[in-house]
Amino acid sequence: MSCSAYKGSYTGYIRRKKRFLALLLLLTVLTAFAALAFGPAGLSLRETAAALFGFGSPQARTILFQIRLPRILTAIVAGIGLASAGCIMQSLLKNPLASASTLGVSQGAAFGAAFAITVLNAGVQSPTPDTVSFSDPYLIFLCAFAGSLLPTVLILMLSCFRRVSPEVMILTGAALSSFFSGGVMMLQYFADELKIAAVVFWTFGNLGNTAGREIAIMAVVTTVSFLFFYLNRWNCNALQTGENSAKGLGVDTDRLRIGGMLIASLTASVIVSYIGIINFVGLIAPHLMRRPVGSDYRYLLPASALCGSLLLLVSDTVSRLILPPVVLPIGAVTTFLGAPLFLFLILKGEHHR
Amino acid sequence: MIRIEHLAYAYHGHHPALDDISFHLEQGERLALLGNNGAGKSTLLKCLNRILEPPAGTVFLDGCDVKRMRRNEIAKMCAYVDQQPQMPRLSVFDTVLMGRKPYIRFEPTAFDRERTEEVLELLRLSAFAPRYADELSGGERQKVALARALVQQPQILLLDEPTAGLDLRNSREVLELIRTVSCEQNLTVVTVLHDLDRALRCCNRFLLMKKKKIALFGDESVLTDDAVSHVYETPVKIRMIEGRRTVIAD
Repeated sequence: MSCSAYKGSYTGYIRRKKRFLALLLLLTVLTAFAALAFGPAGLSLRETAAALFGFGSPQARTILFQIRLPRILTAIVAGIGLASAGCIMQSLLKNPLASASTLGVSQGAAFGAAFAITVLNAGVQSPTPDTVSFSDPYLIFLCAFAGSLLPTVLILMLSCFRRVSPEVMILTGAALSSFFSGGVMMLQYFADELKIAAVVFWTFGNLGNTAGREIAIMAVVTTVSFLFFYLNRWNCNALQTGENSAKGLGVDTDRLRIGGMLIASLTASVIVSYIGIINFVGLIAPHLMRRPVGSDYRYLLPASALCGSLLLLVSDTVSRLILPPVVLPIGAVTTFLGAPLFLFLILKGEHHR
Repeated sequence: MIRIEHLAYAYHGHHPALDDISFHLEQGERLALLGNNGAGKSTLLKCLNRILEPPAGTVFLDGCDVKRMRRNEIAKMCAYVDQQPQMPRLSVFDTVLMGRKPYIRFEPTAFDRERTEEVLELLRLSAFAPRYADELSGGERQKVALARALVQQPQILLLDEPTAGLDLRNSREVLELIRTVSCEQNLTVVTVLHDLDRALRCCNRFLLMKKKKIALFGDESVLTDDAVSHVYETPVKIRMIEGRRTVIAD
């Protein structure tokens, strides 16, 4: 192959990846607009568009800006945060099963929230059958955040002081997940029915509990962490060549692993503490994107982030539309959509790539 | 170029792998690390660029103590190729371009790409540039890893069994490539090799290890039948065949 021929071929290879990213971005934006337009209130597209630009009825504007827009922004931000954290965890731990939910972050958050609800009386069930209101959401957030940090701190301490391998880190995460799940069961066993209902409701996951300030906090954390991950994209690529080769390429693998895991876990902790347990997004988004963009973190990281947003937007829209006016738990919907998809990828041999 | 003084290493702090290793190597020399399995060859190689951090002894690269050097500085001076290198799911071009990692600030520059293209052409890998690196054969992978190391523009090349798992044709080609590149670019090479015969073709300095220590070190004149047989604990003869020293093992 002549020099110009292979250059042309390589340019085409890069262009295909960039084109795919652009398409994914367009699809995410279109899905976000569709999610704004569709809902149990039955607003037409014209009403939605008018309300979006400040016209239309006050009722339509209230539905759009008070209910749908915060949900959609939460889905976008949480999707980016969870998927990019999952993508980076899979790289740093060299394990395709690494994500916030498999490393005990989600279960730790659930334990913290359950502790706040059952022991610190931060949750009460409201009279309506399909929603639960919490008397002290900030206390629940703080406890969930503290709980989600526990496995992270334990895993990182093991990594710092015992210099354990990535395999041991992920096994520790799996053990801690079981430990915290057991803790939640224990708390539920001794709690009354209302508190149990509140704990269960929290673990369902909910994109509708966040307002401007919470979304802003999640957006700042997600943006900072995404920038950190993106700045380390070449280091993540180098890690794929093996620990020794990466060191030979100038990567401080220990520092990268500890720093990256800390930031990824913190991001996932903040998101999960606000919106509850959302499984599979962090796990499956990077896997879905590996086929079209390969394992080049220059493209895989943004593609995974967009895919995470898309998955959450679609799951949220499905959860609102499938049984109106009931809003199905988002955590269950992501699992229902994610598990068969993951199985499909495994059967296609995608996990070997 | 490389000076090592009283180097010692123990895995997990209590499994000795190197004991009081000292030697030095001049610029442009090609050193073969030889010896039986478990003698400490790969461990010694990994201590040279701080992949392993030895608790005792000092490694000087071009007069600088590696303990005081940042990883990026070491990587600019010293490239490492792992035994049976892992290939990522990246294009061959991007895999080789990764060798510029110690120099890349945010994105690779035009010079980084040009350097990658030059090395791909030098190693006759241009045709593979757009292909995924993890789909290549063993010999091609080894050449890609070597290309990545050369793109680093190192003064020292560290190779851990570069011919492991390769057939006769590929292993000859890889060793010839190493020898040629070293001669043309005045590169210092340290390579772990199992095959003494191949070492004789490729290298001009030899370090034979036995039980974590240096048993022999020098040019090919140190490789006498008795000395080599003692290191390998098996009878070995080295004879001139067609004007070249050749190993004959019983």
